[in-house]
Amino acid sequence: MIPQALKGRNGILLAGILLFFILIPHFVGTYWILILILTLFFIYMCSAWNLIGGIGGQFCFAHTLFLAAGAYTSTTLYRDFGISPWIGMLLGAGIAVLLGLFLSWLNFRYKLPHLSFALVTLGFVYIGMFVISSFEHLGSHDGLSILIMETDPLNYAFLSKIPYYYIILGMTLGVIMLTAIILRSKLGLYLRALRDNEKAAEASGINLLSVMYKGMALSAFLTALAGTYYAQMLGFIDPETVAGPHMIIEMILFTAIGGFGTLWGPVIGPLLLVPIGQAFLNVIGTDYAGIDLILYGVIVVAVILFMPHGIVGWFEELWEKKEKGG
Amino acid sequence: MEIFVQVLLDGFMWGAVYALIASGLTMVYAITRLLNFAHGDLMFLAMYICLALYRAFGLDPYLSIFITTPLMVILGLLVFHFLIRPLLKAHILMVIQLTLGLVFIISNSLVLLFTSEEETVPTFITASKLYLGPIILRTPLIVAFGVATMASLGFYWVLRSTDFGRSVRAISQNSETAELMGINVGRVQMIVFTLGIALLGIVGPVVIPVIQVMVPTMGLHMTLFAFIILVVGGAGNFLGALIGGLIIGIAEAFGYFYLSASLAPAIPYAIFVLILLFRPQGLMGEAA
Repeated sequence: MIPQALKGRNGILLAGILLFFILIPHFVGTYWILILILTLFFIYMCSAWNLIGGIGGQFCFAHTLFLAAGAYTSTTLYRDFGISPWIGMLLGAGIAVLLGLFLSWLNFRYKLPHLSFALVTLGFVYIGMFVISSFEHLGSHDGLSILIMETDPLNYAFLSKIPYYYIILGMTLGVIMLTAIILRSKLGLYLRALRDNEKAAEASGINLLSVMYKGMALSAFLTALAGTYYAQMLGFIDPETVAGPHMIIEMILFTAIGGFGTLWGPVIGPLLLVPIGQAFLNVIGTDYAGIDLILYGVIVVAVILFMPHGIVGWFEELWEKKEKGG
Repeated sequence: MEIFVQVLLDGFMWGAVYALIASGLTMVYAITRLLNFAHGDLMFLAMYICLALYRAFGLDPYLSIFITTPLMVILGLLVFHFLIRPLLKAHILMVIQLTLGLVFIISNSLVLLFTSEEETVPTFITASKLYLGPIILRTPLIVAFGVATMASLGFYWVLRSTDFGRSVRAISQNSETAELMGINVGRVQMIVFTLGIALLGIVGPVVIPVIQVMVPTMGLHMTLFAFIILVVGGAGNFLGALIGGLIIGIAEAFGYFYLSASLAPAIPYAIFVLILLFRPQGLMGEAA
């Protein structure tokens, strides 16, 4: 089942890019591997958010909650009971799915407009952050450390960063393929109906609540997996970074810059911006932490004003003009 | 009993301050149906201008109002003209993204210029208190309460009794019809948006001695607070904003007193969710 877009010349191009990503960690140092990991991590997260936020048009901030559900569940289960983070990850994802279903139900039960849904989910982000911060058992404000003493694949523990690189590469490829499949499936069609015209979709007999449940559950599940990954890879989690509003805003802005609801938007956004931000930090110096975020802010303002459909949308428009003109 | 009255009064005054912060946002929302996620960050921008003025000239924040307000007017006009106006007809989510971009720009610029350490700016009344028998009131809170009350009454009067107020109400009820009736909707939107930001030039300095310590990254939190008040009170309803602010302020004050200090900040959000569950149109809003 290879999508049409992957055949022919496009297929060769993609195979080349894939080969590049498979081989590159053997040619660069740890610094670059970490930047690549960060880039892929954001591509993964943006793509997961894009399923419900972009394709489904439900402006959801709650993804940091899902991320925290993954990170905190696997970390505490391993610490307290020695349960492998691979299993903890799935339990965390289960919790995230339940949270996602609850939020979707809330959204539909009360027919919240787009804006309210955004606000409710942002409210839940702060509630989650305060709750985590107030429990000693979850490390409160100071966060939790995950000490990795030896490589132990069964417990998601590696001393080298290279295995983590391949894990996130695999996860990212998986979510991109999943998005491609969904965009071509009935679910993708329904999700877009949910975004574009709820009333018309409802009138044509689509059960929007079930569409929202499916999209949200998938998105929440995938995001929680990234939470456990983040904890194991970095070895440290705290409420401010994992459960705070910063990460989700970055995810939304990266996706906006790439293009909402498209297959490649959430890929292009982080692929361009994460390395640019890091390079910028490198040139200016890490004394000026946060300057990369200012740059993201400026870029997103410019993109929204000049390419309202993101980089991918802009290219598509150019392409259409060229086809018509030629 | 005395403690109960004390906590109630503190909460009441805090609530008025929250309502003051939310009123600009409510006004802009009523007129443009836009939510400015950078609202809280713009307030912190005004507060950090006060910090800079204090460091350079030793200026008291209450005097800085005369500098921050015109600066915020100019900023409001620029933001509206170059950023908001082009998006008025676009999908509402575009404005959210744009203002989220502004959040990143403003809050991180403040971190860059002033570091993310906690800062304080002294005023001539920061430490002073008023004793009413056993009840103790902090003077800055009384001042903020006074400003909030005056601003609310001012808005109320403008909306009720002036031509400008009538056109504002007309647009918030039905902007297309208002346009057909000959109201210059674009101009009213510009004025209201600018007023909303200019108000922050007054609110910011007044809030400084009330919250005492400020951190550049608290802006989004403030915005959300203002949103919560907007939703609790009923979107686009000024009296609602005042009542919403009071409820949140009082609930929070009791939370700090009877629960733990780390759980109390979650109370406003819990109220927010409850209101959405049981009365999604807000306390003062009309059923949809």
